[in-house]
Formats: sequence, structure tokens, C-alpha cells
Amino acid sequence: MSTDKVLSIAQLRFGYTPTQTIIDIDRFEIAAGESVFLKGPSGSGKSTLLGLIGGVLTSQNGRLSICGTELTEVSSAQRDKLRADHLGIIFQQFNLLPYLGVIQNCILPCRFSARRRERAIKADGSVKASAKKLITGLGLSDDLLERRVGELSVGQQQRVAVARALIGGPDLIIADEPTSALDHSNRDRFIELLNHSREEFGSALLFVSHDQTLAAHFDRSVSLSDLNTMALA
Amino acid sequence: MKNTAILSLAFRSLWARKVTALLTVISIAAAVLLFVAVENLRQGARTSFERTISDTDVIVGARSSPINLILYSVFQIGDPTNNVTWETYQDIKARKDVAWVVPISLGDTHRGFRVVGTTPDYFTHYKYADSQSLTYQQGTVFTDLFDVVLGAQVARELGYELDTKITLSHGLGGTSFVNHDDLPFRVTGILKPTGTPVDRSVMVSLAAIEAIHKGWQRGTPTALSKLNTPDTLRQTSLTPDSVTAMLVGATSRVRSLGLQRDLNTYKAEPLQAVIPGVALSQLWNVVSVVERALALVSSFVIAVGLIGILTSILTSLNERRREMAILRAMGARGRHIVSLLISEAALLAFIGSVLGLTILYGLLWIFRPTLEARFNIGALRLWPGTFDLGVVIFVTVTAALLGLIPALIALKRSLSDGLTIRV
Repeated sequence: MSTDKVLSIAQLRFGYTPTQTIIDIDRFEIAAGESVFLKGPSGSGKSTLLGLIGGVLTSQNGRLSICGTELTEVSSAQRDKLRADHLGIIFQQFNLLPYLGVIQNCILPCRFSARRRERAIKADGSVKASAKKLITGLGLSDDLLERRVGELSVGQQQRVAVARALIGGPDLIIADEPTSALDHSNRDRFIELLNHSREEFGSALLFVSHDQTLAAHFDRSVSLSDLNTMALA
Repeated sequence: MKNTAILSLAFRSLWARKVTALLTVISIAAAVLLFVAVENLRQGARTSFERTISDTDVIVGARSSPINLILYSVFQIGDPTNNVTWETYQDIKARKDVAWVVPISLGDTHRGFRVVGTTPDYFTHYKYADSQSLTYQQGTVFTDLFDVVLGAQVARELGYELDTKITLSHGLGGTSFVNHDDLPFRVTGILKPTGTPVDRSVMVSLAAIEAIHKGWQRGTPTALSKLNTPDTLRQTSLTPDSVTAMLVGATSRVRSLGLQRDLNTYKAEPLQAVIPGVALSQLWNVVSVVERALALVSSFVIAVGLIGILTSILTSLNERRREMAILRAMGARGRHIVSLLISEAALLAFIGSVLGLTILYGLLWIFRPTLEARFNIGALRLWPGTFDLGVVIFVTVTAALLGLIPALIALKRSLSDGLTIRV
């Protein structure tokens, strides 16, 4: 299996019970540095697929590898480590822990992944400097760094989430409907920022959304309904 | 991720929910405070109990029960059943294995404080704690017939000083209808506080007890006795017929068992002889039922406090699914989630129990003088010791174990939630 694929899925089947099948994907790959739009309406198995890619769920059948490591063959602790080392995850909203400050939220992945911590330090001297650089690079002013997370607007919070996903340069960014809480003008700007920043790191992007109009921003577009033969019509 | 980092996450997470966390901490603090306070008082009471009498080998009185004898002769609780004749006193005093005998004559009070008729030997032979002797804060032992020595508490509560004139009342009840008003006593000595019943005693000579009852019949004054004046009484022979009890010192400690056996089988009259240490531990066995009940109640309070921690964490879990999903997505492993919640439970318990101890010892330190003076508890621990450390460790470890319950629930949920945030 070639290592220039950050994500590689083949004949993947999954169900929460032995008799059930929710995911049945024949083939799906993401190359290094590639940006992919995944159209995932509700009921298409989106959450389950993300759980599988993130290594929180494990499939009984088929193959799923992240950066060349086969998830079905390693322990759950190793899958957790793989997630920490190689994936940056951005949620729909409420990405940040309310009890940590902006910087502390941003460096969270470096607490769980030695690889990303070392890469951040190598790039910017320290984890905090790396976080600051990322946050200001995403157009947030310095004075925001001292604020409580709750005082930030939704758009600002999402940008901190991008900075957090990018810190330490993971191989694949997974963004799960990150723009659904943003208005139209912010939405396009957010995607541009996200694309621009992750290109600097050479990270691939899997952008999941039900909004087909956003597909133009990405290298290619895939519909989960087509991909997953078990998706509800 | 390092353990300290998890601990700091747990702390910050708790801080974000500080009202609930504070209430939980307070409930644990109150529980630990109560538990340790009860234990401390228990130990203090026990120690001061055991410190009451020392160096006396045998206590002798009329035949009753050992506990009754020690209660009325040493603790001033309850009434003596009968007296021991003066001849018996002389006989015991003459024994070869007896080094000293201090007679005690009870039956009168002064404003609720018991009067102890005795000899000046009382002040040299009565020892408490670790062979400590009675010492005077003012004055000295009685020399005149109408001299009196006061225990520290008597003098303090009644505001007496040297040379204050006081009168005694007949009978051991709190209020007496028969007073020895015509024969006033003068305070010649005030003892230092001892933390023993001596503090609540009024000591006069045996002859004085005899004098104030001279000419009485069947416990009441007669026309003849009313003619007595201090001066006529000083001229009279005042050897008593009997005494209430005796404190006896053997010539050597090994003799005390034999002495006790001899006196218990004394031919001339039925006697009761007890070894103070033995009787005290019998008495303590009776008291310790209450003591155990207290300890049981206060340990239940700790259990309630611990369940409070469990409840507060369990109820917080629902609103924290998002927190767990974020942590998982950032690469937190199952054991991180588990140790986060266990750390929270342990932190609450640790902070709570340390707070409880701080408040307790703070209060003890502030109220120490009052406690020692009022309740005769001079043996309270004023600094936390290994027992308290043990309580902190026990409470923290138990809380951590209980924390496993919400931890495993959260872990199970975070697995089924996957990387999707459910708000």
C-alpha cells in the first residue's frame, strides 16, 4: 500500500450489531495534500464513517489505513495514537473546551501527540509560539488570545478550531460541517482560510458537508450516498 | 500525556463548574471535620479519663461494685453505698505491704461541688496523668480546722480567692436544705487545673467533716449540735468513726494484687478493693458503646459525602459529552478519559478533606483555652497527625475508586458517540 495515500479504504463494511450493515464502501482514497469534498446528507452514514476513520469505531470487514497503517490490525490505544498524530479534526461548532483559554485549546493536540508537539516546536520554537502564529495567520488579532473562549464569536471559535487542527502539521484534516453555523459571506472566507493554511502544511483535507454549493472550493467532490451502498436513499 | 497534565485538565474542568464543585467540596469538608472531631474528642476523653488517677495501687471502699467504687471515689459520680470503719482504716494503714493510705470522706457539697474530707497526705499522694502531683496556684494546704482548699474550676466558676469565707451544705444533691451556715470555712489554697475531677472538688480535713456534723443524729442537726462554735470544736477530739473510701499505695507494685485479694476477703467488714487501671478499663468498656455509636454515625457522614461526589460527577456527565468528544478527537485515549474523571473525584475529595481538617484544627486552635477549661479535655490533639493523614488518604482513594463508575460510563459513551458531538 502506497504511503502517499493519507487515507485508503477498501471493501470496508461496518455495523453496530453483527446483523446490521451501515457502511459498505468499496473504495475511497485521499492522496497526500489533496482536498476532497464529501457530500454527506443525514442518514448517509457520515458520523459512522468519521468514527471509523478516526479510529474510535472498528470495522469487522475490509481495510482502512491512515498514512499506511492498517487500523483494523492495531490496538485501540494505537488507533488513538494514530488519530492524535495524523488527524486534525474540526467539528460543526462548539469545538473548544470552555474551561481552557484560546492558546490552551489550540495546543491540545500537542498534549496528546508527541509527534505533533515535536513538529510544532521544530517549526516555531515552542508549542505556544506555533499556536500564536497559526491563530494570527488565520486573521485573529493578538488580544483574542487572552480572552475566554466563550467571549469569542462563532466564526472566531471556528478559526481557533482550524488552528488547533493544523498545529503540528497532521497529514489529514477532517472537517465535519464546520461552516454550518456561519453566515454566507463568512462561510466562503472560512473555507479559503482553511484551504490556504492547510496547503502551507501540505495536509490533505476531507471536508464533509450537505451543501453541494461549497464543492467548487475543493480538488474533487464525492457523494457519500454514491460511495456507501448502504446509505439510505 | 503526562499525569500532571490530566490533573490540570481535571482541575480546570472543575473550576469551570465551581459552584457545584465547591458545594461538593464543602460536603466532604463537613464530613471529614465531623469524623475527625469525633475521633479527636473520643481520644481526648479517653486520654483524660486514663489520666485521672495514677500511682494509687488500690482503692478501697465498702462492698459494692468496682465501677461504682471508682465512680464515687475518683470521678465524683454517684453515691457511696456505705462507709468503712475507722478501725479498718487503722488496720489497713498498719499493714506491712501498705506504704500509705489517704482516707476520703464524702457527703457534703458546696454550691454543687463535692466536698472531699481527707488528710494533708492527699496532696502528696494523689497523682494524675504521668505521676503528676497536685500543685497550688495560690496558698497552701489546710492547717486550721476551718481551712479549705479549692480545685481550680471551683475557684474560677465561683470567683473565689484566698481568704474567701464559704459554708458547706449537707448531702450530695445540687441543692441542699441543710447548711452548715454557722461554721464558715476560709480558703487557704487554690490548686492548679489538672483536667481531672479534683478541679471540681472542695477539700477539707477529715476533722472538719467530723466537726460540722458533731452532735448530729441520723443526718440532721440537733439542739445540742447547734451550740457548737468554731472555738469549742477546736478543743474537741474529732477522730471520725468512719471514712467513705481510701486511696492505698502498696510498698511495691507487685504487692497490689495480693493486697487487693486480702482486702476483698477482709473478715471484720465487707470491703471492695479495686486496682484503678483495671476498674478504669472496665468503666471505659461501658462508655465505649456510646463512643462506637458516635464513630459509626460520623463514618456514615463520610459515606454520604463520598456519594455526593459520585452524584455530582454523574449528573455532570450529560452536559460534558461534548467535552469528552473533543478530548477524544484531539487524540485522548480511553485511559485519559478514565483518569480525567477519576482525578476529578479524587481532587474533590482531597481538597474537601484538607479543607475540613484545616477548619477543624483552626477552630481547635482558637477555642483551645475554652475547651480545656470548660470540658476538662486537656488531651486534644492540636496538630494533624498520622490519623488525619490516613483519613485524607482513605477519603481520596475511596473517591477515586468511586470515580471509576462515572469514568467507565463516560468511556463507554465516548466510544459510542464516536467523533460526533452530541450536544
